[in-house]
Parts: sequence; C-alpha cells; structure tokens
Amino acid sequence: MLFKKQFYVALALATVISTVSCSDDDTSTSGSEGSTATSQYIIAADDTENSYLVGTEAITEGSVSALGGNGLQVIGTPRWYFYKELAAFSFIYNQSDPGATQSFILDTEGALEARSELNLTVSIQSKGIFNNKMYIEYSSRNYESPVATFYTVNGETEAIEGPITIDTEALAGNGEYAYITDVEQRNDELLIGFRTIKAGSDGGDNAFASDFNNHTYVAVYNEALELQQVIEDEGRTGPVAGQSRSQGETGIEVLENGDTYVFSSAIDDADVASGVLKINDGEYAFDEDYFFDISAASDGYKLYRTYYVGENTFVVQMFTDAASASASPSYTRNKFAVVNVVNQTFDWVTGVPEDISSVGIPYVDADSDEVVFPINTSTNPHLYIVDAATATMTEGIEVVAENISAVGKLNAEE
Amino acid sequence: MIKTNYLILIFSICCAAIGFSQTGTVTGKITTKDGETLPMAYVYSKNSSSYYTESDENGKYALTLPEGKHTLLISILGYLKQEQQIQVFSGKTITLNIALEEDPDMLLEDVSVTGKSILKDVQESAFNVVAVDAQPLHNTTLDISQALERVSGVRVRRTGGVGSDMNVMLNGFTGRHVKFFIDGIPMEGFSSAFQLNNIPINLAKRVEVYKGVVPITFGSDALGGAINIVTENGKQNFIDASYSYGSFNTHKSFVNAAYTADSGFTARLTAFQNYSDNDYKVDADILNLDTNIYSGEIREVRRFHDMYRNYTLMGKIGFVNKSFADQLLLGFTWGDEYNQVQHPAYMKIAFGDKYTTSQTLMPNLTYRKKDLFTKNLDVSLSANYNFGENANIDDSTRRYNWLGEYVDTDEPGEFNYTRMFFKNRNGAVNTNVTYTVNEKHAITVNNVLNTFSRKSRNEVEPSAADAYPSETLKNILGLGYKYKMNEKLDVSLFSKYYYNQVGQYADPESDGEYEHLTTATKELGYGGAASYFILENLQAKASYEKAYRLPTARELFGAGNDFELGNTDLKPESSDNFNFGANYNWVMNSKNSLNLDASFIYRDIKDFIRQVVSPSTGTLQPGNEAKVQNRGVDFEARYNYSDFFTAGASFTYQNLRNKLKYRTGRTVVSTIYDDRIPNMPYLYGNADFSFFFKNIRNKEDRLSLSYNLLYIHEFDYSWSSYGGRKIPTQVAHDIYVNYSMKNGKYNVSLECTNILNEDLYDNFSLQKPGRAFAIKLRYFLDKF
Repeated sequence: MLFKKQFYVALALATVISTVSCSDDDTSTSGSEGSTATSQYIIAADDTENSYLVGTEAITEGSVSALGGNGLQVIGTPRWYFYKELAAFSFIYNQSDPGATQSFILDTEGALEARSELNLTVSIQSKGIFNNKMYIEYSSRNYESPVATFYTVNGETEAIEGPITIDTEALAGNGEYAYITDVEQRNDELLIGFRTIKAGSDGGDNAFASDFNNHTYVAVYNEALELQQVIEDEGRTGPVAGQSRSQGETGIEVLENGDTYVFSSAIDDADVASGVLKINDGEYAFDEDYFFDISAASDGYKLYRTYYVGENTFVVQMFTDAASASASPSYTRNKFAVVNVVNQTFDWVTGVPEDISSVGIPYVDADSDEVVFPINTSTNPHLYIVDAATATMTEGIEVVAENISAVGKLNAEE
Repeated sequence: MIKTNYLILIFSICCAAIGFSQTGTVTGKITTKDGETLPMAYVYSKNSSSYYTESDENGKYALTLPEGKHTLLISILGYLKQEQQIQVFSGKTITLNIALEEDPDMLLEDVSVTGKSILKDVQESAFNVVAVDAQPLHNTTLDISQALERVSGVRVRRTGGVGSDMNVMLNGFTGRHVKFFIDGIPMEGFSSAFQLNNIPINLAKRVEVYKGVVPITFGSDALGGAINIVTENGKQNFIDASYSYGSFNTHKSFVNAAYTADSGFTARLTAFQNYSDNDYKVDADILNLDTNIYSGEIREVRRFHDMYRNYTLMGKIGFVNKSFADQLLLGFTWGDEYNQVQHPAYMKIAFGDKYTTSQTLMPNLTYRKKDLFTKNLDVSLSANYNFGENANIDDSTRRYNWLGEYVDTDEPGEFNYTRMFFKNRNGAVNTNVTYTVNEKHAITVNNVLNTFSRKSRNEVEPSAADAYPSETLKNILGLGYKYKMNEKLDVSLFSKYYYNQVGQYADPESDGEYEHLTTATKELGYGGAASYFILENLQAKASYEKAYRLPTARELFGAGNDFELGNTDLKPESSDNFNFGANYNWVMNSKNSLNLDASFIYRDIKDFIRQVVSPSTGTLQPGNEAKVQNRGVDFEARYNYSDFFTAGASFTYQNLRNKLKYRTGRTVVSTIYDDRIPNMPYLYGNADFSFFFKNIRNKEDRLSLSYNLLYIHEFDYSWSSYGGRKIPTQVAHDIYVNYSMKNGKYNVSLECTNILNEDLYDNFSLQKPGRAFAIKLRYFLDKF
C-alpha cells in the first residue's frame, strides 16, 4: 500500500518538526540595578511611553540613568503620588482607562519592590493624607451624575475603603456642582477645597463654566466623610488652587501653630486676584482681616501650586503669563516664587531655566527649606533645587531619560 | 531625493525606448466538451510565459502575440491541459475555440501543488505583491486575517479568540497605514460587523497583499500597502456550503451560491455566521472583591465574558454579458455583530457585562464593461453606502474578578459609564477607466471617493457635540501609464492626487470651548514599478512610491475627551517606499519544482504621527514627531513534488528603527534614537508542508495532511535602550487533515491548532487561545 507508506513518512516528518521547534518558556523581565541605599530619592522617568523608577542617594550633582535596566519599569505613564517617605503610588489618569493602582517601596535591601495592586474604578484627581490614610477622589463634571467618589487607602497596609460618594449638588448649595481641588488634614477633621461648576447643566459646552469664580470654598468633613460645615468667602479671591486639567492639588496648608492658609489661583477670571486667605486655629471661618494679594505682590501674576517648607514660608509655582490661570495645559507654569504668608513677602526665584518644557511633581524637603522640582528642558531632564532662604534655583542631578515627571524620597522598611 | 530622481530617470529611459514589433491576435471561446462556457481559463504562449490572458465570464478570450509560431497552452482547474499549435500573422486575428476535457484526478487541493494559473498574473506584475490562493484553504476554519499571517512581511496581531480585535502589520506599518479592500472597494466604512477577522476564507478566491507600493486602482492613502480580497465573481453556477464546530463552543457556517440564467440574469447569495464562547483558559491575577487588593498569585482561569457572534448576509442580482454591461450587479449587505468585552487593553481587570454591537447595512452597485463606446476602452464602477449603527454599552453596577465573582456597587460602568451609540454614514465610489492604445500602452484614470460621517451620542453623558457629526470627505484621483515593451520588460508609472476634508465640532485644546472646525489637506504622490525577465524563469522587480496618509479627524480635533487632544497643525505622514525583488521558478523535472521569491524593502517614513504624552498632565496629543526607517527582507520558498507533496516557508526580517534624533524642543540626542520600534515583531516566519494521497477508496477521493508552523522571535515590549519587558519567542504548530470525496464535492476536515498548547501573545499580557480542535464539513458543487 503506497498510501500507508506515504502516511507514515508524513507523520514522522511532522513529529520531527514539532520536536525541533519547541520553545523554551521565557518570562518577561524587568531589571532594577540602581542604588541600594536604605534611603533614596526616587525619580519617575519615562521613555515617552513607559515609566522607569530610578533611585539615587544624592541629587545635587552628577547623573543617573534610566537606561539599560537601571530603572524599575512601570507600564504606561501614570501620575505619581508619594505617601510620606514610605511608598510611591502610581495612579493611572485616563478617564477611559481606569485601572489597577500599584505602589512601590524600598525593601530592607534598599531595592525597589512592587506591592500588591489595588483596584480603583475611577481615575484619581485630588489626594490628601489623613493620619495613615490617603483620601483620594474623583469628582464628576457631569450634572447627570452629581457625585464625588472617594476611596481611602492605608499607606502602610494598603487596605482600601470605599467607594464613598458625596452629593456635589448639595455640597455646592448655589445651584452649581462642587468640584474638589484639594484635601488636607486639620486635627481630626478633613478640609476639602472645592470650586463650583455648571457641569453642563446650562447646556453650554464648557463643563467648568461657573458664576462663582470669585468664591472660595472649604468644606469640613469628619473622618467618615460626613459633612460638618462649609467655610466660604466671596469677593477677595477665587477657588482653592492648583488645578491642571481635572486634577487639583495643594492650596490648603495647616501650619505648625494650627493656622490654615488657603491659596487660590483665581482660575478662569482675569479680574479676580490670586491670593491667600487664612482660617485661624480652631475657627470655622475665613479671617476677615487677613488677605495676601499675590497678584498685587507679583505685579499681576497668579499662583499655581504651593509647597510648604516651614516657618510660614512656601515655595510657589506660578503661571508663566501675567493675569492668566487656567486648568488648560496650554497655560504654562514655569515661574517660581518664595512667599512668607505671615510677613506677606513675595520674592521671585532666580536661576530658573529659560527653556522649561514641563515641571513635574516635586519633593518637599522641609528640613533643608528646599523643594526639589523635576524639570524637563531642551537638554536631558534634571532635578532643580529651590532654596527658600535665598529664593534661588540650582541645577541638580541629570537624569538620562526622555522625561521625568515626579521625585520623592523613600526610606526602606524597618 | 537623489534615489527617487534616479529611479524616475530609469523609467524615462525605458519609456523612451518604445519600439513597435509585429503582432497578431488569437481570439476564441473556451468550453467544456459539453459546450458549457469556462470562464477564467488561463491561456498563454508556451514559448513565452509573459503572453497570457484569461477567458471572461462568457468563456471568451483574446491574446495578442508576436508574429510567428506559438504553442498555446490552455488550462483551468479541474480540466486537462490542452496544447494548440498556431501561426500568428502580423495584424491578423485568428479564431481558436477550445473544448477542454475534465480531469478525473483533479482536486481542489492541487491548486496549491501545481496550479498557479490566475495567481501568476498578479504575482508577475511589477509590484511587490503576494497573492494568496484562498481555495486550498477553503476546507479550513480560517478567517481572512488568519490566512494573511502566512504571507512574508505580514503579522496579524489579535487580542484574543474569535472576533477579537486585530491589527495587521505589513513590513512595519500597522493598522491605519495598511488599507483593506474587497474587490477593489475600500473597507474603511464597513463597520466591525464585516471585517477581516470575521469574514471566512471561503468568501475569497484569493487575497492580494501589495507591499509598500499600491497600484492606482486602489485609490487610497495607504502609506504602507494594501490588502485586497478578491471574491468569487467568475463562476456562474455553484454552491459552497460548510459548517464547522470547534473548541470553546465555536460554530461557523458559510453558504455561497450563484445562479446565472442563459438570459444573463444572475443572482448571488452569500451568508455566514460565527459564534464562539471564547472561554479558553488564561493566567490571571485574582482581585479580592472584599478588600479590592489583588492576590498577586497568578491562577489559570477560564474566560467567562467573551462571547462573540456575527451574522452576515450579502445578496446580489443583476446581469452579466449583456450588450450594455459585462457585469451589472445591485446588492445589499446586512451584518450584525455582538461582542462581549472580557477585559480592557490589559488583563488585570475582568469585565462581566460590558459589550459592543455593530451593524452593517450596505447597498452596493457594480458595473463593468469592456470596449465601452469604442474598442479598448474598459470602464468599471463600484459603489457602496453603509448606514449601520454601532453601540458600546458599559452600564453594569457589578464589579467582577477573573473568577467570575462579583459585587454590586452604586456606580454604574465597569470601565467608564457609557451607553454610546454611533451612527455612521459611509460611502465609497471607485471608478476606473482604462484605455489600451495598442497592445503596449495603456492609460488608466482611477478615482476613489470616500465619505464618512459619524454622529455619536452617549446617553449617560449628553454633550453639546452630540448634535454635530464628524465628517470626512476623501478623494484620491490617480493617473497611470503602463508600458509593456516586450515580453521581458513591463513598466508602470502613476501619480495620485490626495484630497482630504475633515469637519468636526470639537474642543481640540480641551478648554471647554467647542467650535465647528474644518480643514482640508492635499498632496500629490507618485511612483512606478518595473519588472524584467532576466531569464525565462527569473524575474527581477523594482518599485517605488512616494506615499501619503492624511490625518484623521480624531488626530486633528481630538477624541472629544479630556485625555486625547487634537492638533490642527498636523501634516500628512509621508513615506518613500522602495522594493527590489526577484523570483526564480526552477522546474527541475516533470515532478520537482521550486519557486523562490525574495524582496528587499526600504521604507523611510517622515512626519509620522504619534501620540505624544505630556509628562506633567498625562494627556496625549498627536504630533508629527516621529521619523522611522525600515530596511527589511522578505523571503518565500515553495517546493512541489508532483501532486503528492508540497512544502513552503516564508521569512521576514525587518530593521525598523526610530530615526528621530532630536525631539521637538530638545538639543540632546534622544535616548531612544536608533532603537528598534518597540512592541513590533521583527523576525518571524512560517513553514508548512502538505501531503496529498489519492486512490484511497476510489479514484474520486483524496486525503490531505498539512502542517503549519509559526515562529516569532522574542521582541521588546518597550524601547530597548531602557531594558524593559520583552515578549518571549513563540512557536505554534497547527495540523490539518482533510478527506474529500467525489472530486471535492464532499469534504471533512479536522484541525488542531497550537497542538503543544503554548502560551501565545501578540500583545503584552494578552493571552491567545491554547490548543484547539475543530471539525469542518463542506459541500461544494462547482457547476449545476
């Protein structure tokens, strides 16, 4: 039987080829061979598409590379948030692509280690720390669903609670909808800054349109996120500072003596002054006698985000162009200043590079009165260090990467 | 641009060397012994294989040959070859009618072994084209995209099983740069209910893959190439019906039938269906729904929400071979698709309720006439209009994990609370006029008009933009000249004028200010192709095109969210595409033959549009930021031993590099300069062999045994300079067994894909199905 013979030949050939071409089970790898000190600065760098966490002990000079496996690869370009000096959290900011949030710590050997991933069903906009918990939230900008959604994440154990929703229509109480821009702890309460927006209810195209751009709102919540009261001011400045696109950060700061300073960009309205208000220790109202007019002190500029270095002194990132403050990314924020909120002094920071393309999330070194900004320019990115005492910015370590977007400090687990 | 000019110069010299040799014509009709007409019979001169033609739907043919003695060879599948001696006299027409005898031994499978016939016409054109004969695959359960994977230079990447998203890569170009056509009609507006990943291979007679340089008949801004599905149009009376069942509860059925009356009235019907639960096993991290923390432990789980089904019905009626038209067909295509979505772009999250639907409602018209008004003026026109509605629904209040467990929450939307409905209106008209001056010169004018209008509405988040459609009007006018100097040299030159007008009610800066924006882009592209027979069985080819792709409305005006911004200053992407190839057909003796095809490709892509991430805001905005170069080699080989054995291999290597030295606003060399483009296979290939056994129970039965191997070499997921994750080397083995009875009338096939159950990934972390089995039953009646 010719057929039989042919069949066996074919079968044998098939077997040989299958055996020869078996593959070995490679697994995907990502290396990290960076610094191994138990206290390190961690810089979030990227190759334009994916991120790399790079560790370094010193930041004032030299160079560190994210290339060649020296960084710990993190897929995508998340937004970074440092929980104290314990963990770096990556939040995916993409409305249409929420996802798992991962945090990274230094293990006892000083190596970066990824912790268990967390499932958050909303993109995170504003964040704040209350004791050992992060309060993170997403505010809707659509009047059809007038809610802000909160989660709390224990920075140490990673335990998640939530979601807890807040009725933003009720919170605003002015016919508009509350949109949260900062979260801060004062004793056993949460101070939550918000602005109010029309959220499309007027049929208009701009969800962020508002008739209350010269109002300042701070809501007081307890730990369980039950509303206590709303502190409001009208006519002096605008809503709590620091919005870039949908994300609000910084603006409410409780100082050592218990006084709270509230900063405003005075967003979306050239006629409203950017400035600082004060809530005195233990009180639930803005101090009628205190107002620090930043617009006036800076000859017409508006502030963006604020970083407290101690002794009533803040390093403030400012909008580049006079009289402008907007959530839109096309408004650059490439100026810096040092302000003392008690003495009401304003000093422009000198030594700022001319060719800034973007500024990332900084590390505040209150012990040294310094704020360390990750800055991208026309050369390789560098860390730049602002010394609050002298109001000068100096170039620090170079990072060999396409961009850097955040810097923080991590101390190894004990 | 020195290279370009040089190439044009060569063409000019070739064109200048026009000479007139003495020729005559042979015409006639090809029929069966019973007098039934035989369309698509291949007629060529044995003395020189570059003189060939094919009989039309009436069985008629006309072939112009140089003066002198010729041996004409007439062949068609299923019939014995016939040789005829003829004497051709200059300027004279002789008539030769031929009646062919049925080949009792011939089976469909032989096409892959011995038959080249019609494919040869395409393959030997001056373009860098690979034509896949689909007919030998008709007994498999493959869809068109799977069949494409066997072509050198092509990789099809899927996100999962039946119906899953796919991305075709052609010599380093992906998705938006490679355009698809069905019988020359652009498929851009067909909606996902009728696409390459659900059209069964049985619909296609052959699939043509044009690499880099695209003939003007496919008027499209196909920067990286074009893929054309050629359906069965010639056969007059036939039925092809099949059903298959396979692993993961996969059912596929297909019916294709045509009837043509003596009066010329014709009716054609194609219907197909795919269904799969796609419940194959994957490795996943399990989320604890109480704590919202991932366990970190990877477990093997079954996919539980990935059902896919589609139905498609295509009907055509009209006339063939009438005085007013060689072909006039009016048709309608109806398609309906339902697709459960198991996960987003990565496997971390499992969905349990999210789904999409898609619909195709598309009337179409085809008209063809040779010698319209005057001899040698051929006209064809095809048009279609799709007005189907698509939906994307994500309104569940449940949250799932990979075990299929869920908890109820207050917030709707597993991913992003959406009840989105898209109303698309897409029209395409392709008009082609060719005038053949004499046998040597042909001029073609081709125009493709494409209109697109989409209105979308998200029920849960009404927007001011809902009232306004986004619109695109694209027109590509092509002029081509073809010169056939002699039997050895063939030259084509062409130019394409691109016009693109887009309109959208948009907020490109995402600052809340919507406005109605329109913009128009225009470009002039050009190219040429030449082929030369160095020896009778050794052909050399060269082709070049300056190709463009015009920016889409989404790239110009943004996605309408606050994450993906628009850029109204975008320029069209352009590419210089060069191809050099050679084909050697070595017939060793009457039993052994070997065909080798090698091509070198060079692509230089400028103003490449890519999404640029803003590190401080996390937003994406497209920019003409990238510059990419590719030098690659495609290789194909096939060996045949009589009609018993065939083995083939294809191999692709591409050196696709980022050539953007300085990013916008940077004075330092980019850290990713000269890196390989990440997440793109660069070394891959296929190998296959088949045995065909005759005379098993009787003369009319056949058994075939085939094996296919797929190899993809390890590649970087991200920019290689950074040393990040890699996608490991992958090998898959497939086996197909087919038993045909009554000369291919009844067929039973068994197949096992991925027999070693390897973990296969086309995309980072997105696992494809493991070992799968399928059985297919097929009835094929060639003529009645």
